[in-house]
Amino acid sequence: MTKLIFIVFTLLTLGTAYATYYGYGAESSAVSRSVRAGSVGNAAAYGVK
Amino acid sequence: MSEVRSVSCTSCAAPLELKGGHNVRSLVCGYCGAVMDAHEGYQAVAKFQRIERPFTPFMIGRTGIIQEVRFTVIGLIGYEMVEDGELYSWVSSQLFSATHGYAWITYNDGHVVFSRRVRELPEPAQVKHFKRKRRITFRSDEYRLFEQYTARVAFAEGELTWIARQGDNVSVTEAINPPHLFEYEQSGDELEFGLGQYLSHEDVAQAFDLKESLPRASGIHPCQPFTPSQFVKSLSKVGQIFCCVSAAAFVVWAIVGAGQTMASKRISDPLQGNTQLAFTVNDPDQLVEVAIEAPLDNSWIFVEGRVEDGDEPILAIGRELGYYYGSEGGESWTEGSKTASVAFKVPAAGNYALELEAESEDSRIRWLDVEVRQGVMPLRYLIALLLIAAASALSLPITKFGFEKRRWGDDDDD
Repeated sequence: MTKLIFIVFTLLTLGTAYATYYGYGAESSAVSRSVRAGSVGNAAAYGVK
Repeated sequence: MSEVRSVSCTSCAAPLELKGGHNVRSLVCGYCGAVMDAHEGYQAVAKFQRIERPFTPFMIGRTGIIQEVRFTVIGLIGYEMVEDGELYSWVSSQLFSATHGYAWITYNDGHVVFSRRVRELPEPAQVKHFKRKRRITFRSDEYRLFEQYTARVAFAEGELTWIARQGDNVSVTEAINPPHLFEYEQSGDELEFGLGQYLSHEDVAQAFDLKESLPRASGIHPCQPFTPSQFVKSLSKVGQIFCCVSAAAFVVWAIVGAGQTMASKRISDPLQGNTQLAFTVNDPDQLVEVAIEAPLDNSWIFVEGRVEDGDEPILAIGRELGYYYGSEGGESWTEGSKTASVAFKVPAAGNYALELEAESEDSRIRWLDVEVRQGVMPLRYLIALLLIAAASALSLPITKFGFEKRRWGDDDDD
């Protein structure tokens, strides 16, 4: 039982290290990505201005 | 081995086996319920109205080895108690060993306690004012008062070390130090002390060589020790290890988690026009963060930024910073922040340009600090790992706390 839980925690830790190192899912939500689409947002587009 | 003799019931003439020693005081006929005085030629002195024999795995004649002593069950006595309108019952089996005398094994809703009379006095020797959790001492061990009740003798059979009569009352005060139980037993003017020990089903099965498994225990017995499951023990142990791993990861994060600065600039008069800041990204899989700071004073600034790859725009960002302060009712307050940041990823390694444009109604804003960092690591996953590890590490004490809470009911005056 201890071994099994240890393995689960090890996998969890590796996943955490990976996600932390690569910043998985941590991009700011207000960032509008328009990769090479030619369309660049502006402040008005976010309804901020 | 105990010597086996037999007598005939002086009331119904049924043959009855005798397995107890010289201190047996009464014999209760299992057929007619007659209580016979062993010191008076088995003359009938009382009678039990026959009721159904209560269940116990420790029936008369059964033998078992407890604490390295072979005992034989020689008698049964069933008790009843009514509390809050609910009837509770249990069965104590009188044990006899030719070398070690008498003892009891009590079966109560799946729980088993082995106990013996003791002659040493506890401190205090009498409990005149019962108060739950009050401490008493016996043989240098500390016990806590658990409950006080009066039980009624409802059933008896076989040999007993005193003359039991149906309806006799015994007042019991129990104190616990799991797995031990100390009892003050008062019958009339007589006060006796008993010391018990909780036996697990495994202990009982081994001691009595039981082939059948005991019924599942109901609830928590007063002196039942806390025995966590293997899963909880393992989870807690591994959780402690990974709490340390998480703590080490936090140290690493504190050193490298902020990433490395790729470009920084203090923009003078940011409201006057656009500004460009070039930076290089080496690893496109890692986060890039743009952090901005402005000297706000009850004002706001909106910063619009574009990250461009050569001539092609790849990202657009917009952030409003506002910082306000004041005092109201003698208390000062602040709202908002002078800093903001956005994190993003670029599609490929290479050179990029960040173009910034700021807008504000506050012309006092003379500068804007901008910094671009690569390899910024979010803290959220480490926090989640630490919380999971900590919860796992605490699973054992939390489970124990819950167990003790259930043992003591709603008491919280510890």
